[in-house]
Amino acid sequence: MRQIIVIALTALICTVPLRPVLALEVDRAVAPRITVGGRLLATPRYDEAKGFDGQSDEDASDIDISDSSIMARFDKRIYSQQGVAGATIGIRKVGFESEVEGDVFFNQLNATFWNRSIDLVVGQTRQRNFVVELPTLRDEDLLAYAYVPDASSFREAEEDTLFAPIAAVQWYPNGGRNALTSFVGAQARTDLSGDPESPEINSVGLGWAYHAPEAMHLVEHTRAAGVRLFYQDVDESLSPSGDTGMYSLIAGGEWTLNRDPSRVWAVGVQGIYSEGLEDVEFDPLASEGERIGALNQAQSWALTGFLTYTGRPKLLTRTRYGLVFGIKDYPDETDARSYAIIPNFVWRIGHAIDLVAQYKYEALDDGLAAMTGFEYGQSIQVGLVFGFDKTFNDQIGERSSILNMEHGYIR
Amino acid sequence: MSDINKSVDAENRRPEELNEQSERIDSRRRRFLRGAAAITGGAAVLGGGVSGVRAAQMDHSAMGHGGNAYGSMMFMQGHQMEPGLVIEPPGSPGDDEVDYREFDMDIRIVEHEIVPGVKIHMFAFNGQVPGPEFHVTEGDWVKVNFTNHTEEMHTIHWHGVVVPYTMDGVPMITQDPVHPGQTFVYRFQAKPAGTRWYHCHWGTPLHASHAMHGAFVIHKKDDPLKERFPYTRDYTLVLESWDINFAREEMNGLLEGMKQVNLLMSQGKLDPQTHGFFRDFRDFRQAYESGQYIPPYLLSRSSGVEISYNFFGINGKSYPATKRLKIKPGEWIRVRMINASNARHHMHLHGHDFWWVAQDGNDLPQPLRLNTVHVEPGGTYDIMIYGDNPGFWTFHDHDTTHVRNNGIYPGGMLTLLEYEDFEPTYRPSTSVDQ
Repeated sequence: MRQIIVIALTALICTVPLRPVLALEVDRAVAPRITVGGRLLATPRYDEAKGFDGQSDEDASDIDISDSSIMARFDKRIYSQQGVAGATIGIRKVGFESEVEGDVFFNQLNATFWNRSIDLVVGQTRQRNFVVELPTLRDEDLLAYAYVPDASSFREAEEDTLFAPIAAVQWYPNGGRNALTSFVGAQARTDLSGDPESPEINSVGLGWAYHAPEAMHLVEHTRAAGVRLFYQDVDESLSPSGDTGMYSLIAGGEWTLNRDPSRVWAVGVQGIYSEGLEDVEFDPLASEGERIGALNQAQSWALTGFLTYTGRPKLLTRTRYGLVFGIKDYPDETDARSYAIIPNFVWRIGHAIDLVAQYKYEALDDGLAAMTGFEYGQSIQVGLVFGFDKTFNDQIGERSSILNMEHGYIR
Repeated sequence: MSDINKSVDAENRRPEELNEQSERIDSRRRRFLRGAAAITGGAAVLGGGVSGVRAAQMDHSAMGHGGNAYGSMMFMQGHQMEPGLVIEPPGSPGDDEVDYREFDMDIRIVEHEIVPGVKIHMFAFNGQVPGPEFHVTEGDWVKVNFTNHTEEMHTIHWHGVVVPYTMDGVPMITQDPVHPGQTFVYRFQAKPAGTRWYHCHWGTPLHASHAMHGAFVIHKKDDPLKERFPYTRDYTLVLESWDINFAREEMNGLLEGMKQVNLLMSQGKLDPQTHGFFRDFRDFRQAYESGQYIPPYLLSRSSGVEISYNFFGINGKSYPATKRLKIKPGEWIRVRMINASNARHHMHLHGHDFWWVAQDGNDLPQPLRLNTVHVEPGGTYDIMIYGDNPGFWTFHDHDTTHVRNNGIYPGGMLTLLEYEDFEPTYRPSTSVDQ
């Protein structure tokens, strides 16, 4: 594993021009492009779970504002006009059941560089442990199904699964839509009781991705597709057998089914296979941390998908109906399959101002229910989402803009 | 064609890029054009028009209109994209009625370099910025086959030329916008004489000011100005201002939207209101009040699109990439300035007075002796310069905020009047950062 890390870091460093960065003046004459965006979700919600095998039922109600976030991004061209460098800072309200400390955390804190061929990000950002983003209200809604589990984490914290310090490169060989992707990352680590450990680089990945420019999503069929091999190095102390390496394979894609931008049907599907660590066993009597660790370290496969219909009369988005599903199975365990289905509805009442409603139902087979303590659960939430995105001093054309993709790339 | 260094015979200059064909149009082309005209009805019988020619009576059945009415196809049920369609509007004589000088024009997206290091995408007539320069003689019949090679819609408005209204190029007022892949045939008589110009009239703030413009010079058979000011060289300066950030984002945005509109149109599913087309104001009000249509100008949909010009130019280039005016001692030159930008430009010549002789193409009753002329947006201003002070003289907008490139002086709308056959004691160099 260390050899992989050294090779990956060396390759990464070779793509970055090395310059001294201390004690140089900041040229205030050159203002960066500034992009500010954010989203506030406020949804009264009600959750209930049916206890398994005599365990007590649970219910809860809340005004959920988790996943609300704000982000600012700053970009400048480099002197040679061969690319753009930038910095991103973003904060996010943590989930209401999360064990991450504090109410908010830095989900984005990274430096970037991109040009026609390279897209590089170094720092805290979204993990590369998925290829399809599901249209659920919050990222956590299908967390266990849609992302590669963190085999080094023994605590409940969706933020650990979603965000981590990484160094990632996407290489577009012909400047087009296909990219070879690679990354190294420092996924969250805990001890057996779920207490955080100091971070270290413990994951690496390699893959291929196809991304149609967002501007083309409504007029072309394939929006995105990709496949990624994801490797995690687990500390020996966390492994039940001394096996410290876990591979996962992710594949998926998103497609627009019809060719009518006023009535858009779209579908997406993603599969994740994780080989798991050796000798992981489900023990319902183990501590909570150990049970969470076992779920993260066990061999598993997960299939997720969605179907959406977006109504855009006069080409203005007004409504979206979505149906999202997830199936996950732990093949080494008996009766350890879970299912989830989420219908949701978005009524757009203004630019990025949405009234939303979502229902979720999840059921677990007995083997898995014994581990989690519940047999099935459901939640309903209705609320308001306010989003915004504004660019100031907009002096940089995007790599994937229609002009740059179809009419010649301008640096 | 916008090479201002070029010495031309002002009376007979014809742009090579326009593929002027009046003398050599072959029978195959005539058959093609007539065949295409037959698809849309063509100009069959002529009636009285602006020039005294009879108005056309056309069969517009293919356009979805009954009888001989000529109207918009945009409201036709199932209106579809018809790439390759040649549209022959009524209002001007047919090919066999008059002897046309025929030109082919198209519109495409090009990468254009304003100044070294600054390249942007532009809509460009025949791939040029500015578009090709027309030189015709007053009374000539002009036929322009305008083909749209972009995904956006366009027209050509002949600014200052007195044309039949169906040739005026104003979308949804005098014609449908020219759809992607279609050809619209403009026919008119070149009049009145003078410095005129043309520009796209669709999405005008972007299309007209950023690149889709060019000179349309109508020469008199006997020009009294030439007798009084016997000029031997004739320069055209198209004055331009660009917000390259607005242009980039606007073009990307409209291409994104047009891909959707064109897809709907190709399937016959485009509701005209989707494109902001209404039969009349009443229809528009009803659509708004019923909630079916939410206008994009509302404060709920737009906080206003800002245009902040950061590059200024002459004939597609900013200083120091602008080309110089050449003159010899004892020579008269004519300079035609066309303000295709949305800003005023106060053009000042060093070391000389000049004679302002024409405005908007029309000769002034009395030439005025000036050294600064205030060129208004949309206007054309002709001046005569006499070479009586050998040297190198700057000629620039005296709103010096326009003599900058992205805020850095000097740049922008600046060129030089350079004397030929002259040995300088101080030779100019290039300065870009003062």
